[in-house]
Amino acid sequence: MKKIESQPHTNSDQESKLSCLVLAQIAQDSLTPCARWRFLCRNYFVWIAWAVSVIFGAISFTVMLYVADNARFALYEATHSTPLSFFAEVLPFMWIVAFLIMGTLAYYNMSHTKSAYKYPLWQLLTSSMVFSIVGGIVLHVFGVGYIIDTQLGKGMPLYQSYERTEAKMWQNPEEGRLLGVFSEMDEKEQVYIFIDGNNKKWSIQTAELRTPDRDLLSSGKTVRVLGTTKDQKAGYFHACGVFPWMHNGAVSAQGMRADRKVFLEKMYAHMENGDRLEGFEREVFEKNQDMPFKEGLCADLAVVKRMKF
Amino acid sequence: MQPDSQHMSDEEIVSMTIRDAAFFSHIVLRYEDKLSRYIMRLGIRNAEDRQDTLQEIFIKIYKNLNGFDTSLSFSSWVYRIAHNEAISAYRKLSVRPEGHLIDEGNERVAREMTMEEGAEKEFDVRVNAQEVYRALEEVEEKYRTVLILRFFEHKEYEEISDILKIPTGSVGTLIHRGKKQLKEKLDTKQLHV
Repeated sequence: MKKIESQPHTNSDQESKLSCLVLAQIAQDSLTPCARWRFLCRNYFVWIAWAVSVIFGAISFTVMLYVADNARFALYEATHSTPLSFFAEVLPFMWIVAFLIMGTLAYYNMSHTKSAYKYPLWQLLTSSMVFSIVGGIVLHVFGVGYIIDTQLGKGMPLYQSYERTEAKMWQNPEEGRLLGVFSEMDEKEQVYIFIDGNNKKWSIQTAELRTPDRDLLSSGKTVRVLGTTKDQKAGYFHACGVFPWMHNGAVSAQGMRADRKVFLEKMYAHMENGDRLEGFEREVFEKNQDMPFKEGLCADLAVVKRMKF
Repeated sequence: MQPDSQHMSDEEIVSMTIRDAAFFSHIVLRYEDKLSRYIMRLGIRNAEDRQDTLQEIFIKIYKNLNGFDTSLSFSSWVYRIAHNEAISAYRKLSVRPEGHLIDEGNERVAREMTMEEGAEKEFDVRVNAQEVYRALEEVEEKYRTVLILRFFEHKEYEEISDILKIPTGSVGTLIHRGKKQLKEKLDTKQLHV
């Protein structure tokens, strides 16, 4: 490696073999300092990548909040045997995983910023998560979680939105649950004609329904009906309870408690009615004889039996 | 007119170097000896390898001048580059530290190490410095590096944090553990006090 010939700004007595070698190499290879914009771009890129991770983390968190706020656990016995199995079905696992991945990415990006090394791992990890959580809460206040979840549900057939999850739980005639709207009243048969989520027509018997339930059923709003399918082919359904279908906003804890109270009252009323009719049956009729009433079927609901034991 | 580099700050020389590469010789002159000693302590003992590594270090410094983080001291930034280059050169050359890690004339430093809090109070100031040198060679790399920066390069915790890119708290922990490990090594050598 040859030395450079002239070094105008250096003192010859200060020169060292190494400085000559270095300057020679700089001259020989025509080296120049890397442009400042490259370093700036790298720095900006890391911060932008961090911001993107935090934004997606916030989006994941806001959908999680929306689901948590809307999970109708007030009626969990109607669809699941235990609260655990209910939550296992409604928990937005995809969004939880997305949130964790985004949190990890945000941490990874932040750890590549210039001054990240000054902070311990837990502070970097927590700060990234906190930004996503705060962002998620803010988005939740503006109802972004609901919009994202429902829009994805509409636009992506494979995406299981919370509304779709809940609808799937309630549109299940084999297990005595229907989701749909009232169509008309069949005066002759004294049944309510009801169209479920699959556009199937049902004749709903309401002998064991209370007046508010009948009013709700005939209101024309989308409702959930709990009961027992008497003849699926012919579309006969015996209703034991009618519940509103609400998916346009969060339910307060107070509202959830009120819903649960009403639900339990209905189920215990069916239980008591069943016990009363059973006693009556023992007194009047021989054992194993079919009951002559339209009532009493609700006492045989799986949910009522679960609650009894 | 030729500027008086003696009274110029590193940062001033850097900005002049960006305009004219010849000014870079001032940087080389200022750091050559310090970095040479530092990378030797890190394990690059062969003079030729050390010269090559130093040349690579200064070329890297030159190429990255525009990336110098002004929130750091220039010295810390230079040491950071030197450290990274020396470690990779050390691994590439598969050089194992031979003989004494610490060069002669550093007995005072070794004594200082033994006089600091905790592990050191048991030691007499007349500790056998040669034993300390040998024990330090056996200390794990992560501890040895901070011990070298602290006691041989006389760097503050903040500077070590900037050079090694670790939190300041970790620097203290590594120094504490390093000294503990050093004491254990000295104990196994049955150092006479």
